[in-house]
Amino acid sequence: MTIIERPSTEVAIAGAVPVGVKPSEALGVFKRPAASSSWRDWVVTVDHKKLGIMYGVAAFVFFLIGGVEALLIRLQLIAPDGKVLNADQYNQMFTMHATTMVFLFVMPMAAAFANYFVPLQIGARDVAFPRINAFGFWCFLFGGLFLNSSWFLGGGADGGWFMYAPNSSTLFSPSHGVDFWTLGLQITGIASLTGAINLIVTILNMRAPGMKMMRMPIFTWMVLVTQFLLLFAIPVITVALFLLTFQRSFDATFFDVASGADPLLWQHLFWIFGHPEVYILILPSFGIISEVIPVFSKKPLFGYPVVAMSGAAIGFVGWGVWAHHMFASGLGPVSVTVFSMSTMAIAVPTGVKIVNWIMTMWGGKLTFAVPMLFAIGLVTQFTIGGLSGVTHAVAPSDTQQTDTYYIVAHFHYVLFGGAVFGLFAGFYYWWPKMFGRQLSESIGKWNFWLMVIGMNMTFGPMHILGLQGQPRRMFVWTEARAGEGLFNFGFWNRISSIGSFILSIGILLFIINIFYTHKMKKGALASNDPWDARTLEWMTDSPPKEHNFDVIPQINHLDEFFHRKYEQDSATHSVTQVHSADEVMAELNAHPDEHIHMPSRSYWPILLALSLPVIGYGLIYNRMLMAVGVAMVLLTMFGWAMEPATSPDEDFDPPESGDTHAKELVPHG
Amino acid sequence: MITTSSKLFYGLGTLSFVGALVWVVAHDGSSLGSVALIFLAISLLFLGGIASYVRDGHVLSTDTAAHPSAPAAQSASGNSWWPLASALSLGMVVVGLISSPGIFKIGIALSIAMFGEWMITNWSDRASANAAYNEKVRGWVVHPLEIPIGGALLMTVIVLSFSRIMLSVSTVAGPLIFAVVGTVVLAGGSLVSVRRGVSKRLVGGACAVALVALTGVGLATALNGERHELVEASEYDHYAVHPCGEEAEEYDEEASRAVSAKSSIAATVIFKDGELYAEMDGFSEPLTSISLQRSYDLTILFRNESVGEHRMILNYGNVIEDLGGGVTRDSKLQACTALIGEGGQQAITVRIPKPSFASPLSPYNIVVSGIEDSSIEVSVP
Amino acid sequence: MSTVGTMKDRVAEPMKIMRRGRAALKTSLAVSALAFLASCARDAPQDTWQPAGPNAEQIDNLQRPVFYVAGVVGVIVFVAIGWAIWRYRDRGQAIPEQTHGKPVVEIVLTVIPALILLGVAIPTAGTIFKLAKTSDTEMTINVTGQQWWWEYDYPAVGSNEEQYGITAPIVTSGQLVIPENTKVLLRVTSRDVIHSYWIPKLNGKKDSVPGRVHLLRLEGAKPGIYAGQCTEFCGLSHSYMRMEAVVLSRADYDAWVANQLEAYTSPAAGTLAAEGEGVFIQQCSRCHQVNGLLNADGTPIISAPDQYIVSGVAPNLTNLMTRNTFAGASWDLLTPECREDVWKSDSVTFGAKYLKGVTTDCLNQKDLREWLRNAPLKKPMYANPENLAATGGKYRGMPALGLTEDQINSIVAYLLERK
Repeated sequence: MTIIERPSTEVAIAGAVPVGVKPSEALGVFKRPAASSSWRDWVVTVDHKKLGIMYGVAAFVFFLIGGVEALLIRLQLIAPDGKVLNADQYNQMFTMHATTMVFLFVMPMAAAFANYFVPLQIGARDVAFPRINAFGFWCFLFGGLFLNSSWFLGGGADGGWFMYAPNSSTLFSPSHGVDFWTLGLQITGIASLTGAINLIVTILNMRAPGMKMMRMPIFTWMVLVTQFLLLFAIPVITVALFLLTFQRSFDATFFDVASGADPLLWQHLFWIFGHPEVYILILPSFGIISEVIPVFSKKPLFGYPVVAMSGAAIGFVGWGVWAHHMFASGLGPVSVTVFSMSTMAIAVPTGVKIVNWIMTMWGGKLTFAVPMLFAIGLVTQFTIGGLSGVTHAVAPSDTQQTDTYYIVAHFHYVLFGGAVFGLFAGFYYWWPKMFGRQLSESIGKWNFWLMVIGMNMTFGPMHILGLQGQPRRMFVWTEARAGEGLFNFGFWNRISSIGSFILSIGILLFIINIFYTHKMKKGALASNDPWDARTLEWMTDSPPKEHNFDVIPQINHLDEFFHRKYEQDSATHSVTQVHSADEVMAELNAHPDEHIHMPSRSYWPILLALSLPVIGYGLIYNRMLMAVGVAMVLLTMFGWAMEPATSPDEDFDPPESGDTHAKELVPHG
Repeated sequence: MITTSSKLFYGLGTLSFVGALVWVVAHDGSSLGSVALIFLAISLLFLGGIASYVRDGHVLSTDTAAHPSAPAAQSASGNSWWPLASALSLGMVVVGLISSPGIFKIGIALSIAMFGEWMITNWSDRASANAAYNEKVRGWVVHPLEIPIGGALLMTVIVLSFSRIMLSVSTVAGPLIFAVVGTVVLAGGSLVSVRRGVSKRLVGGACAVALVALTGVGLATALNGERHELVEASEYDHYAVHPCGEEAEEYDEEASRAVSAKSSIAATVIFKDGELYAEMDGFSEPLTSISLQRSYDLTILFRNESVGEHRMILNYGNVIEDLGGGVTRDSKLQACTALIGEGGQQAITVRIPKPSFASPLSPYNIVVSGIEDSSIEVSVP
Repeated sequence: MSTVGTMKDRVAEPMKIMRRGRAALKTSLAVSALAFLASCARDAPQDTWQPAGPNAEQIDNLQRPVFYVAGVVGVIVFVAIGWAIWRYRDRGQAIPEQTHGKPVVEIVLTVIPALILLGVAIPTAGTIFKLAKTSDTEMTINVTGQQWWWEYDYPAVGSNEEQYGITAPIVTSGQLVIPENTKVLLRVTSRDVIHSYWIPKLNGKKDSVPGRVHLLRLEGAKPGIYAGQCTEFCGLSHSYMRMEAVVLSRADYDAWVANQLEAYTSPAAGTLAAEGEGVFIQQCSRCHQVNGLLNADGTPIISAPDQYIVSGVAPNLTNLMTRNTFAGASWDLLTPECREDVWKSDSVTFGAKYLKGVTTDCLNQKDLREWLRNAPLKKPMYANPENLAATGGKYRGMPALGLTEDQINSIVAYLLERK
């Protein structure tokens, strides 16, 4: 591609006196930023690995914020008639806890892993649209900050993360919390949508030669399914949020009975998004442990095609179960029966996955490093959550359980025991690859066991509390409804609150582990393949170079890396190591690729993302500010469109002969 | 640097800004127009900035003697259709002045657009001595306006045409057309994406034909008008609650399509063979006495199963307004449906503020206009 | 150790373990079932596992086997995981065969859960339709939720009037009174946001949605008081939106209806209660209806809560002291001892005790007076007169009225006679 460059008048006409402008000066402020080693590089980066790390760090910070909110909730409920929070604060707390954990922690943390490892797993040098990738991250970050800024501007949203109409209207929720919520989620929704398109295109188009769909690592498969779910789910919530915004800001009456509308419209819209969202949260973690378990079992994933296809099946059937969140909301018996059946049906592909994980371990050679512990933790805890899920797929029994702590227990087993354990398995598994040092195994084991004990103490008793009739979302519980005997609600609420603090110590240990490993330099330097792993991301340096691979490998197998290291005798099925990881890499890199093209850095993604919250604040406080925000969007889109395709400085130089690692930066993104 | 084209944009931008100020003063603080004008000003000043920064010409474009390679010495890059288009737009303004304000307004908008394009083209033709570069420069400056506005116009044409078609065909044909068109578009798109060899001309041609066809059919159906239910609905606004006496003369034959009827009906009132009775969820028999809650948005569906047109009237007491000076006004609280033909139905949503025992003199009931001896007693506790 | 011995051990080991495994399975099942049962609170008023009426029993009959099946499946999965961890831990064995598994195993392990779920699905569908049946309804009651209490009105129409003597509408709140072994149908709706009606021991929950009427069956098998709670988040005081269903024998129910329909009698002149009537008319009757209260000109006093409150209603206090609780059933009108006496009584004596209502000795003065002094302090509500821009000046809930202690004394005395 050519750079749009202004030819000087003289040069254009047969080499007269060259007084023209040099290409690098031609476009003034539209120059692309140069590489640097300072913080600036992180701001303008389009590297999928750096963005992945930033996604991870930001999501983890939001995880801590959401965790503090959870601890405050548990403190309030440790005894009857709690006084830690008042009703208003409590309602904000549980709304923001759920919103933060779902939208600002689990989703972006999965995006962090997807961003970092999908290109590595499929043997690509970056994602398909690097600038959009950066834009997505900044949208998520600014959207999350915007959402949380409501704490300092009159309080957070107080309608629950499900934000049922008409309780979310200005009549019933007059503070600006709900406005921050709707607009914040719109902004983070842009991140999810652009991320989804980006990853889908990357996975479909940028796989290494020979990597057929059925040779793709299972994590990449699950990410692909997740991104398709996002692609279809985000527009639904976007529509719902727009309706709510118009209702709140412009006096529309989409949910107003007096105007002939039906408040259940919101519930349908929300859950058509909300149920696929559950799979959006859990599938990446399924993918992570489907990588971890085979590696630590020294066996390929049992029934790989079945696991991949059951993921896809979940992706489809997940669209037909939304009304099981609404069994009590007055649907007719026919709809209730249909949704009850479809909900049971989706348990089958989910069950298949559990069976396949166990069968992968069956007959293996298991080692129990921390990633494997978390993976097994997921299998066990998710089994509990899945089984309690089946009990409320039974609609009549759900009418007793819904909106009680039994449901809270269920989805925390699924989302904490499932999604979060999977993410922690990912942290420990991929940490050496991402940061070049091994996290401490001994601290990691403490971390794991405290989290398992803490989570079972926190959420286990909630099964009992819920079945015995303690409803959710109540800022106080009363002794009058708490039952008698030693094991009354007081006992279990206390256990649960104590458990939540044990759980948070477990999570604290993870942070301590990071400091121990990096700040105190106690963590061992990681080799390129510390776990004797099976997939491509281990066939490169730890941490990987900016261009990921010196050579894009030719793929002949599922688990390509393993097949390069080991050989199986076709008759005796005995497996022997034929090469070490370093040998494999040395052989591969003997003839490195030339002309490696990497995308250039850009200012515009962050600037464009920054202008979105400005529109948000404008909508809430002053419509003129909206105009400024829109103008900023216009200007930054202009800048985006007009910036030169490549960086200005060294990137135009042809590669020096002999230096095979020189990079010629060409347009992309 | 203040370059030739940037002068234009800076000038227009400043003008818009002044216009915004004038608007605020002239419209007594109303902000909508001024926001739009400030937007325009920001955009124009921005374009001016772009023009400055791309430095449109180091050699004065008028200075033909300076150098044989100066821009002004080059011939223009080709035929320009803008003068013709501008003339036509002006013609439209004149025609509009005589015939209709709509055409006049469109003419004005077109003239502005055409003159703008003409101006930019002329400037860019002299931006440098390199014709290809000049073309590019023109693109930089006007594409950010041309492409979104053109795209928006195209979308408007498509949406308008398609919606006109959907509004004029019957409710049965609508979904069918939607499904067929959707399938064709999807299939065509898939085909193009799978068979990459398909020539651009072919695809472009097909799109153009489709667009022309859509616009043509859209125009035809727009002239033909909407289907009669919609015409009636907009004429009589079935979905609003009218004070009795001002209600519609036509009724919606399919009230159950109204959103209000899709949420629950508090009571269905049926007039059959001269008898008035109600059906309510939870009561198996027909009721001649019903109980409704106060202060509640309740929806009552009236269905006429008798011969002739009938109107349901819900009487729910009276309200006494104190007009001051000892004068009071006593007005009846009523909700009425339209005159409903045989087999027709209509839903009304009403909120009853006071309990029925508050009005011993004017009992709450549901009656049908013109029928004296049949009524449903309404009790509001 | 000889080679033969090692061989034998190897063969015997899995057998032993399997036997041991089976025993462990049985024990762990029994232990976990026992542990679960023993770890529950006794007499939790909202226990979903103690049905007290046919609707809740149908649910219970369905959910118990489902829980057992889920428990057994869970134990099997856990044992399998435990076994795999123990048996296949790295003991220096060779790297296993690199196989993606056997399709037969795969299919069997997919079909088994599918069959189990099918076994669950069929009775589920049956129960859904059974619970939705309304054609055999014997009594119909309108239940309306609003922030943050429930209103019940018993329409004087149809079988209510003909068979249960409800000759005039009865309006009450907080406690729903129904006759035993009667198929009662609730027409559940809402005046403002979405609430959910739930008496766990009588039936599952049903949302009350503005603009919609949802039907919920209740039937109590024996007299008693059954606690419930609004279970759809409905704003600030969601926690304080509670309710009870009171099941009375048919004779007691007739007595209750008769009492509700009794004409209003003013307090005897000169008593504190008579003074309270005046204060009530002046301070409370704007929003709270007491049927039978008259203006000076002899016309009935009609409350106009629609002018002051967003939901447009306030609880009808005509027979307040026949109820046991107030303010969204969140506080007792009975002192703890009296409450214990009524709530814990057996089903034979319960009716008589409940029908006594609240007597002077039994009145929970503390909570009622705190409420009258400053209601929004006791129960969070949107009642700050300076902060009502969003609602056009209307309250959501009861504002602090700034009553003097004398006024409160007289109102309490007046209210004590409302039964």
